[in-house]
Amino acid sequence: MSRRFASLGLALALVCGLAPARESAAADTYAVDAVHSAVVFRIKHMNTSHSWGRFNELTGTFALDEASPSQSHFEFQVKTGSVDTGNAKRDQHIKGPDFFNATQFPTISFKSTSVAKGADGYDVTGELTLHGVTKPITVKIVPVGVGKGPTGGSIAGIDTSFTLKRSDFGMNKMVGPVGDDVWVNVSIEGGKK
Amino acid sequence: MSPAGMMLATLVLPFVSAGLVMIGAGWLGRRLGIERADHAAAALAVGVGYVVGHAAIASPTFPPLDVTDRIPWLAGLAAILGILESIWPGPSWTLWENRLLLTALVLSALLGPLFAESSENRPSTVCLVVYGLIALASWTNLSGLADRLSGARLGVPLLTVGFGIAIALVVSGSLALGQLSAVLAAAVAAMVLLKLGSPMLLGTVPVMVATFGALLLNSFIYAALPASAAVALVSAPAAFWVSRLGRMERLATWKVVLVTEFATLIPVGIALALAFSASPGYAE
Repeated sequence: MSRRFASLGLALALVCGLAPARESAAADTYAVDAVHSAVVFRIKHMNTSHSWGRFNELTGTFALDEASPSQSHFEFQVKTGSVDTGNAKRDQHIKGPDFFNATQFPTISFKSTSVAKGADGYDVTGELTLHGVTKPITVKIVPVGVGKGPTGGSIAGIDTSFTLKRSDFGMNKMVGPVGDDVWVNVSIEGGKK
Repeated sequence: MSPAGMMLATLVLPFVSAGLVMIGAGWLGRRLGIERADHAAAALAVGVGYVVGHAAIASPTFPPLDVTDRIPWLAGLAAILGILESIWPGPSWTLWENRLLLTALVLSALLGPLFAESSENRPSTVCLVVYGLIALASWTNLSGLADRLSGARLGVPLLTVGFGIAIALVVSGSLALGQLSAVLAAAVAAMVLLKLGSPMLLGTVPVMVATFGALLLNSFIYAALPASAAVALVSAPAAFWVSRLGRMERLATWKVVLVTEFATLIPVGIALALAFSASPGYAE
């Protein structure tokens, strides 16, 4: 009987002792700080030059667990209507039915499904939803740094670049004058939640 | 796509396809002894011309997630309706029933995505009723005109409206929608040219109302066509009635066409001015 009590005591001690330790080992989750983050893209125009643009509204969270990469996760949403190429007429065109159709498809989203440690960062596979089409993509996410923000809270930054074919997502109008390949760079700073 | 390729896909391809189908299907229909075979052939020709042009410009994806990709399906269904109504005309209540069904289909295909949970642009019931009434009024107006006017008297101003819509949609933020309107106008042009001296072919009315209606609604909701310009374009065919006023019917056809053109250019011109003034310039 006393041994049973001893076992229960040990179990309780383990639970109480280990639970906080497990919590501290879990990856911290960061919420996107849109002011210090950017989603920038580049696309060929008339097969001669690159036109650049960005999205001004980005939300989401991420957690990077160095000890156990598979526990990491990334989830981001971009407001399609916040596209900004520095020209009002072009923005109107890009937001319309020829490209993003921002009224019908107001959000571009990414949600990771698996994370693995790679050579220079993390190989993150996830579902990208663009123009109403969801497809798996794999990107390399590179941690940029961790530190303290101006208010003392923890902050962390990540970067990724990738190229996608817009026609794979049903954005197949004006392919030719406007390139099919879109190079995207995502630079994110997040504040610890 | 080069400018020449764009012209080919937007104007030549739908014009030639519609013309060939019109000649071939009309010949076959007459040979088979089908009554009103020309009306059915015209519906098929305009529908095929549009679908071919649409595929050349903006190859539609399947399933058609994007609302623009749904328009060729609507054009195809409207063409089938036009063919059926031409070959087996029913009592007038069936015409109204068909109009209501096709209008509801166009509205649900074009506006359905706005009823998704995430949408911030859900149209009110009043808006839906207004869109439906406008479509039915346009249908009634065009059918009434097609009953009373010859090919050139109706066809030429109709092309002015069609190409006017094309320019307005390009200005309002969608080159593709503008091109697709020009595709439809080119397909209608083939029919007008082949039937210049004949009465307008009623079978094409469902195709024109459903397809032009879908393109205008698409541009108004998803691009940046101002509401005032859309109203001016939709009401433009009402100006065709000028050719039925007073002594107009006794005048030579070219004179009637000229007067009707002037009357039509007023609402079309207003629509273009409104679209241009609402559109930011590339230099801004």
